[in-house]
Amino acid sequence: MPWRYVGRRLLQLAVILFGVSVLVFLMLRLIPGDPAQLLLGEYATPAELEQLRHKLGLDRSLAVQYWVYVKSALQGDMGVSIRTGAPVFQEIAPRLIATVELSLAAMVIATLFGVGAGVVSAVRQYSVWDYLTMFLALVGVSMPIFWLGLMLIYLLSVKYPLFPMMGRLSMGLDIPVVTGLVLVDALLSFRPDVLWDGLHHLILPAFTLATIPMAVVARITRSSMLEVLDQDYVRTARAKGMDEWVVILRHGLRNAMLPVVTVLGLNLGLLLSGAVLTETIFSWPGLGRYVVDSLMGRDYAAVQGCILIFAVIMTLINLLVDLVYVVLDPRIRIHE
Amino acid sequence: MMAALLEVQRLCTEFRTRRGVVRAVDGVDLRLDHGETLGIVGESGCGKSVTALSILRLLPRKQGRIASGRILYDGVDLVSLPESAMRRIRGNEISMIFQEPMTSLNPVYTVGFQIREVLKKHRGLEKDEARREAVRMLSLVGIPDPESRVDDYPHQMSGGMRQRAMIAMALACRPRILIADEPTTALDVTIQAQILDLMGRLKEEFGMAVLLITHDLGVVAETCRRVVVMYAGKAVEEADVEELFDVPSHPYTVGLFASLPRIGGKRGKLTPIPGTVPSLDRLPPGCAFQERCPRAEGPCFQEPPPWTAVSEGHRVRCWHPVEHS
Ligand SMILES: Nc1ncnc2c1ncn2[C@@H]1O[C@H](COP(=O)(O)OP(=O)(O)O)[C@@H](O)[C@H]1O
Ligand code: SF4
Ligand SMILES: [Mg+2]
Repeated sequence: MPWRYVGRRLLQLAVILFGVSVLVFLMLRLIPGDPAQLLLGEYATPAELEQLRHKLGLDRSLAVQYWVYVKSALQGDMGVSIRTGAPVFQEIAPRLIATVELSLAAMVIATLFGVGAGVVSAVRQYSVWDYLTMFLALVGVSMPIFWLGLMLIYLLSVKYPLFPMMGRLSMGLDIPVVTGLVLVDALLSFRPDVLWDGLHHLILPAFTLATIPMAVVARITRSSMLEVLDQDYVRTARAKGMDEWVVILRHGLRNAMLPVVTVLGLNLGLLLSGAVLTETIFSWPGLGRYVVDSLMGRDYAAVQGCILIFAVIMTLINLLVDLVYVVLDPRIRIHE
Repeated sequence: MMAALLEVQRLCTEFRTRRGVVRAVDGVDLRLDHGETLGIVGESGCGKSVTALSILRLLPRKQGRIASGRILYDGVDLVSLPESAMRRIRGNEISMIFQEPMTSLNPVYTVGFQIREVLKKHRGLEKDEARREAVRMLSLVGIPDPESRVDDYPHQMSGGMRQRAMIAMALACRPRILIADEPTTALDVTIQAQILDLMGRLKEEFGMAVLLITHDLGVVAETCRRVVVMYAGKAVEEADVEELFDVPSHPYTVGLFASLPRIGGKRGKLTPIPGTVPSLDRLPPGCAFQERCPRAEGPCFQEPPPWTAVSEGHRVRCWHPVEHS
């Protein structure tokens, strides 16, 4: 692992975060509307408003506000939500984990099924399977998540009640929170019933969120595999007498994964924005819904916190993608 | 006469292309005896690689197929062999090395891994043993410092080194036949000589038969016992090397010799064969060489020429073969 490279990327991360924090800070302050007014309602007296503004620091200059904001953020203090009065960090953490759980599940689904379908399509190019998957993939990328989620709920929760339609766990089920990931916590506390229930709740929203990346991954995998399977080294593998699955997976897919990883990385961003919709439709208590609610309520601190978290996640994911690249392709290692 | 190790009989290989089906190999016969080196020569595009790929059944599946003919290996017809049995032969009893050392090795695995893979598959060697054997093979093909080079990725090696590594991989299971498809074409001249040298040495050491494909008559002269000359998918002349060099009978073969640069020889000037190879989907009736042939006349334009014996072990496919006195 090229540590100097990781270090340089982490430095970049700091720069990006600075930029994001300035942008977020300014953007929200420049939107018309007075948070104090919003909080206290229409009938607040000017004195009351003044007092709240002072308490929130809204009466000081932008530079000072930003400085105070950054200083405390660096100490893990992201301010207090003006809607709930709770520290933003405390509000964000469990929601972030709920979102991570949903996104990871969606990512796993998208990768497994997308890559699997793409490989079979490439190996059986122009077969019925190939045409069918590529048609479905085309439908998949152009599917409005919102509509798909509602259809799934209507069909599989309402009409044929196979899946629960909202939340992460059924009422009354409870487990000690260790990681915050329901499935992991269920395993840790040996509760197969909770594991099953959590999984049951996770499937529909995760599938909904996975649709677009799955379709994109299937198409990229197919075209990448088609290209790789024509390479000389694949012929060499066959000439060595390797079994066909070894030729396809070990020699083909391993090389074809490079563009797929890029696309997966890019789609993680898409996933986060998709998460906002999916969480709303399925009442998933995640960050996506929280950020929308906070925006509506002009909850500056909360929105700043969320966007900062999004930025950190996106940059970390980019770093991760690059590192996976380095692991997958030894030719990159030498240039470092 | 002893049974041949490999006998290709009237092999026809076809490709589906946008302009219809083309016959890239048309009725080729080859005979390779134990421990012998047989050369196949001809200009680029005449069907040498397709012949080689047909023998191991490595044609691109979507477009290529063996349309007819037999490929007898030890008396067994490879054309109708089940794929699983074919896999036990590839890389084990019949190995192949290719023209492009730069792209023939998988870029994401070490050279050692790629050699171990074949040792595990065919000889069941486990990791440590396979690694030792891979190092041994690398040192056998003249790669310096094999203990550390075994962990190199292909991109860390030069073209010549990669071709050596390919040879090590191909010979790891002691095959009885090595098919070498223009193994030195992509390399520069000094490296070419080294690789040919190495192949000659290993052939003796392992007692292999070699099917050497090349477009270079100089290479043929140095390495082969017998030669088959191909043109537009057909074998057009076949003879022992000395015989072919002494009395080339097909006008195309004569043309190939004339186009050889002879440094210090009597014929100093280079006279390439005029014209180009006709496209396989637009072959004229009669002899495929007619448009470029100074002797074309009469039947050449109507009937494909049949095989004619020139002497014992020397035959030619031509209506008006060149006579030598
Ligand atoms: N994948 C393919 N698809 C269509 N035609 C092919 C393909 N590979 C080879 N051919 C045809 O076979 C002919 C012989 O090719 P090849 O055996 O590679 O020539 P060479 O003698 O240079 O090795 C080519 O001229 C081409 O027309
Ligand atoms: S058959 Fe006729 S055209 Fe063909 S090589 Fe012989 S003389 Fe030339
Ligand atoms: Mg060739």
